[in-house]
Amino acid sequence: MSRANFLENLRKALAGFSKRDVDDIIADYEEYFREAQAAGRDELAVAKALGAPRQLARQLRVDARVQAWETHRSPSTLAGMALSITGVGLLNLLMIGPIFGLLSVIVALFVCAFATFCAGLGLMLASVPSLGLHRFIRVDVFGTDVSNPSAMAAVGFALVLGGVLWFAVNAKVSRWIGNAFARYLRFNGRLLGVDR
Amino acid sequence: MKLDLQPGMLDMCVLAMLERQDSFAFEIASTLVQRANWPEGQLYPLLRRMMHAGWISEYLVETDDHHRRKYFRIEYKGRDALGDMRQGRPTLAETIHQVVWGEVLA
Repeated sequence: MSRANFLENLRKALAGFSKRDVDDIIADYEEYFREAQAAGRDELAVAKALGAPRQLARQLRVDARVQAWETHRSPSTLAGMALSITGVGLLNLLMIGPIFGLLSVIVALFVCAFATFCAGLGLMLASVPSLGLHRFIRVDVFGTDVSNPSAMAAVGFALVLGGVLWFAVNAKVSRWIGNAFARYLRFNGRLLGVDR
Repeated sequence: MKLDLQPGMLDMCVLAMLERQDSFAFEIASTLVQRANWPEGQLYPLLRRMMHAGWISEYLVETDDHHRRKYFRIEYKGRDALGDMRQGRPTLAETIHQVVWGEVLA
């Protein structure tokens, strides 16, 4: 691959990066070619040694997503980080299962927390007789109706509290998982399928 | 003889070079390529990651023939990281000596 081809392919593969980043990266590789050729190296050999532009772009993209997560920890940057490794190489194909399994577990835990919160809220509302909700929301334990307002209010309050607490724990846990994932990705050249 | 460099050792080598003096990508690469079988393409992604981690910083210099050259400089965080790496890793010579002669160098 010639120098011009390499730079053109790299620029294409960097679609999605900001113009500033693309220009900076391209300028870096232009500089590298210039210095290498000034030192007497053949441009084809340099292009070969640098590796496939698409592979380079994928690695830069993974790094950028990891950085986005580290700058702003949110569900979307976590998902972005997980998605970015999908195209990276055969090795990661094996990683996709466990990673998306883990993401599903996180989502399921959040859904549970939300459901618990909603159930508690429902019970608390039903405990207010004037709202009339007690006609639809009843609590029976093994066929015995125990829908007394104060018990429903107490249990409802406990569930709401439990839901919020669970949510906080999940947030903490998924943050921790995301950080571990980022650390794993950051300096792991082999995971990124860098061919030599 | 050329050594096979493990991916994890790259950051240590690059930091150690920058600790001695500021340098630019091709200079770093040539130094390492002469001594190790090293995938050159990894250098820029590695440098960018180190930049983000705050280990190094960059500045542009115009060469005599009016071209851009990006220099890298090691920062305090990078020196700290390098110190930790040096502490945590026996030298290759120590490891080889241990394996071949079954003893540890003083």
